Amino acid sequence: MRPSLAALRIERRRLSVAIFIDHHLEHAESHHLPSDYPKALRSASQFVHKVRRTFRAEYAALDKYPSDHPTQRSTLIQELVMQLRRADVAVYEVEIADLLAAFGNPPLRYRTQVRQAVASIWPILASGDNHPSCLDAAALGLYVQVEKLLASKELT
Amino acid sequence: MIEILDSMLKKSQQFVPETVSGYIALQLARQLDDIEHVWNYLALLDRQPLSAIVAALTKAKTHGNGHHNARGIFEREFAPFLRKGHDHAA
Repeated sequence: MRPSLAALRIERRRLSVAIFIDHHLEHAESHHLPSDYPKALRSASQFVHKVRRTFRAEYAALDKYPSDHPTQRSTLIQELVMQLRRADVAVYEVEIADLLAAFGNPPLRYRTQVRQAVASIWPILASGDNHPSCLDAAALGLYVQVEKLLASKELT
Repeated sequence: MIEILDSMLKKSQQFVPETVSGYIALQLARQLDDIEHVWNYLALLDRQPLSAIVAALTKAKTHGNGHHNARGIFEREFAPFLRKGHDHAA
């Protein structure tokens, strides 16, 4: 199996993942997290570990979350980023402004617009079985994979 | 009337990808600073292998000196697929 990228969308009570090989979406799923932080961290760590092993994920993509206002979500993201890096996974942190700009011309203004674009690309992600945060994870994954594909040398 | 025409023109210049190829075409057009011709890049992606397009982009970035020159190098690789002024024709 070729190495994949795991795009993770982390919310306070949910962690969604989209797996990409090159720019192909291979898999998406969502995992509910407990409200208690230590339990949420343990649950999220186990889920990410399982995903990493199952899909041989050597890369990960996450939202870049501002660290100046610590919340349970931002702490969880920081902890998972550290765990991924300790496991030799290359982590890409994506600014929301870059994501909005990438999914439209002119740049989109809201995450819901990105979700609509991703739902057009992969309608199955917008079906009843999938949580909307799977759309966010897929957007992150596509963004990073295409950046990696095309950004071999920046223009000056 | 002018407002209606302005609105129609703006809509024709808007682009939100509905496919992975559309998304890649948008990033390609951005990298080559040629966003108004994004439909041409989408048509190119339908006709040429992605590996050839990425190779041409890399060559254009390596040998081009700035966006305009790089775009020229890229276009020469794929003439006549990238004839300008034929947006939406493909």
